Amino acid sequence: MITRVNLKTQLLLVASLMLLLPWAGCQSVSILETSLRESHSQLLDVQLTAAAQQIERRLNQSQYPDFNISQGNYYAPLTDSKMLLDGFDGEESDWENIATPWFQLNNYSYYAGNNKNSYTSSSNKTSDIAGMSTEKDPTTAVKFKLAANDKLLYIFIQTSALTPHYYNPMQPQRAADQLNIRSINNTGLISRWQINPQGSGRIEMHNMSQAVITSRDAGTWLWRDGHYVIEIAIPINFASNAIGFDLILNDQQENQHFKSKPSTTYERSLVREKQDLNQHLANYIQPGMSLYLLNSQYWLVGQLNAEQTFNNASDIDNAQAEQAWLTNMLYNKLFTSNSLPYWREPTSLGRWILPQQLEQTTWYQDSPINKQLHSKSIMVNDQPFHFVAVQDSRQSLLSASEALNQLLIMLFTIIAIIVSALFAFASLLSWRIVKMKQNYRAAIDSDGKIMAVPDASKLPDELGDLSRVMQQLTANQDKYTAYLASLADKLSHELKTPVAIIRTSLENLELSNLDPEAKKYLIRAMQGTNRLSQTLNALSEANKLEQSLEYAQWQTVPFDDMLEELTDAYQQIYNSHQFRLEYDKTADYSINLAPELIVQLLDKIISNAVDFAPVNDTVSFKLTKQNMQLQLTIENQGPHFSSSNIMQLFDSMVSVRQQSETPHLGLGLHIVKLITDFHHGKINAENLPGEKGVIFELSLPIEK
Amino acid sequence: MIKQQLHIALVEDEINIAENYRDALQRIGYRVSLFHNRQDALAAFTTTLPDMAIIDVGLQDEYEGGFDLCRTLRQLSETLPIIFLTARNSELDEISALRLGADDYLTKDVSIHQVLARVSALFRRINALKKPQSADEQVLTRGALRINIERIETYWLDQAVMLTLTEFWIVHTLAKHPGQVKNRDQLMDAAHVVLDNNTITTHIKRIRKKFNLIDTEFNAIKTAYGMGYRWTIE
Repeated sequence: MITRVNLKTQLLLVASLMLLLPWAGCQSVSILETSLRESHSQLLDVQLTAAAQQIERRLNQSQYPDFNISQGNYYAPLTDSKMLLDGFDGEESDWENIATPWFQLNNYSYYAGNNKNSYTSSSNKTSDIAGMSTEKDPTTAVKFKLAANDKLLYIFIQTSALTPHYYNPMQPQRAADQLNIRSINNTGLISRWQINPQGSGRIEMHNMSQAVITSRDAGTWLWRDGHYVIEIAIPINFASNAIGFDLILNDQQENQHFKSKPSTTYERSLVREKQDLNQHLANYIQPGMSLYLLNSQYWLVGQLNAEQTFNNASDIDNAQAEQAWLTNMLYNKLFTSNSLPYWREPTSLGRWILPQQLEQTTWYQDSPINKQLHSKSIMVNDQPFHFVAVQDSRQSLLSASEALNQLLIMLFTIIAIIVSALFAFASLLSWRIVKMKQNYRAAIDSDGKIMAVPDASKLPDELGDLSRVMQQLTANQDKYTAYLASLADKLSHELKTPVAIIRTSLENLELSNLDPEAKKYLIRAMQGTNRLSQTLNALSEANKLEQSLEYAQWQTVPFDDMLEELTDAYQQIYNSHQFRLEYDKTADYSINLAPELIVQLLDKIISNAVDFAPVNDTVSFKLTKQNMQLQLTIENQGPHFSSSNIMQLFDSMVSVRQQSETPHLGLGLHIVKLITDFHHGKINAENLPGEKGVIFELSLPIEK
Repeated sequence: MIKQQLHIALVEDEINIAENYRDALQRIGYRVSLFHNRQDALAAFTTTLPDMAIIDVGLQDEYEGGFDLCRTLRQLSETLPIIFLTARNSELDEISALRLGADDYLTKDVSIHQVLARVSALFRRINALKKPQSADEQVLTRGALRINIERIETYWLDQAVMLTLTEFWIVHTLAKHPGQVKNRDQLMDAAHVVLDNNTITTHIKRIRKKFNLIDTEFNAIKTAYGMGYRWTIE
């Protein structure tokens, strides 16, 4: 079964091809966006190159006296604020927002009896040098982290669980825990610092080089939860180039040195993020851009985020950005290329994570915007530095998405107009076709008889033409049908006159005296003429019946009583056959019908049955009631209908059985059909199983 | 046998038929004039009216020339008996003819004997009408129905029912033995006609209609399905 799709749906489907327009629009916007992006990218590249050269020149001119060009073993990020040396890090402390890594201090033993030749060292992330060390207690570990501003270098040291041994000024010889610091500044000045904690709390710090004792506010040395926590600050001027630690922890009368390096000059180079450098980077910043300056070890020596610079600019920009954001969502849904790698934060704890990123200009997707990464290498005192810019595509996006917005609004408006116009037009066409169909369906009844020729459309288009052609065809068909219907009548009428001439002549002849010889032929001629007359009457009978249907009188009659009377009558008329009627005596068979026509119908069926059924055979009637229908079957043992044209049995001029002696034009069953149709009933004929026997089934609706 | 020869005008365009009928009519003593179109007939009728006119419906080029002629004749004479004799057997034609005031409508299927019987019956009716009413007339009364057999007149509730001859004989046959079912063959015999079943049905239908014009409650003719009809008296 083919699914029916009506015209309207078909046109709607075709019209939906219009949705290709926004797709095409998106493609063109995408191209626009790509070119914008590329040109933006090129522009950015040029700007960055210039900026990189400028920075390179400035750095080489040593505008930043405390700028450390060395690779850097230790890293101190910039801290904006003055930090409280309270010995706390973690949540809600000064250290919370500082992205800085932990560095380890390794345990190096300096005591005799170091013969265990153990080369294991505690995990060391910053140093490749595996010092000879004897681990007495593998659980003891020391780590520290750094932060710096223009004035101070903040140091935060944390040990694992241990037993404190404080310095007792009364017993200076007794082994106690001690922290030594070596630092070097840009000018090469070496400073040594020593801290001898006398208890958990504030500490003072000795500058061994200058022999100066700082105030007690130099820091805090706490023994908390079994750990040492040391937070101190030293002036950055003394430590701009390198710093090293030597934490001596007394454990079971043995001093353990947790040091940056095993040697006596244990300082390591320090790289730090510089505020003035960041301020310089601000010259090159643009909205949506992040700038990074990395040293050869990928430490962040300078960084600047556009949001830090522009965030406070104005609320209006933000509002606009917010508004654009919505369209950006759509834009990104449409254009974010899935082939681009996902963007992830490039730095972690002050260090660039993926150095291979720096090789080229790369695009990343970072929903809802794309990001591009540019990197330039610059040489400062023969040391390679990386100048990295990460630019989000917001700038190009804004203009492209604006174009997109306008394009989409325009396209969708046009599409909405065209589609609704098409739909309305399709509906109109469909309505016209449906109306035409309905007109013709109403005009032609189930038998293909034309009740009335519908009006044709007056519109001067193809559908109008079709309608007019249909009307013409129907009118012609109607004429032809009428011609066919009247043909028999006309024929009989035209033949009647010559037959009348013959018959009246014969009758006149009969009245004159004829010799017996001639009389014999006269009688034959009369018989032939009579038969011809009967045939002619039969021919016009169907036509006459159709006329008389108009005058039919409807009345409600008990069909069972009517059949009782009829079978009695048939028994009297056709005494050569037996008639039997079966029905349920208790049921009510009242039905509204035109009795005279139904009798005529039954006459025809019975006449047919009696003509063909063997003598003394029984013709059986069976009346049943089903829902709102009465069903009458009439069965006889006459020969079968030839099965091939059983369907045409009720058509005019079809006789499917052997010609009998009386004129048999096959009109009888046609009349049966006409009367059945007039009663909105159904008539059917079938062969009974076996050698012979036929059955007629008549169904009549009880309510007309 | 008839003192003064009755004059019948036969208007029939088919010369052979016309002459055959003329011969038959003349044989039993009528005087017959033949006309083959309306104009000739009308010209003759304006000078002298015949005693009876037998007219075909279609006259040469005039499809309903017979009807027109009948209408004109009725204007000339109210009482002139008019019989239509035609090849057309449609109910509509028959009704039109009777409505125009024709006394009978015969199709050319019927035999000449039939035609002759109708002609003489009609003359008999005319004569009866002309005769003053006498006490010994045969009158059949069945409830509201009264039939004068001599004058071939039917009354229902004392109003005349205009029946054709065929219809008259059918009513007469039914009413003669109320309650008795008359089958179609019996009715045809009584009306001296040979008609098919359907025609009897049509006649019965028309008889009922004519009675209904006088009395909408008329229901004396009952159908015995498949058997025929019977007259009932309430």
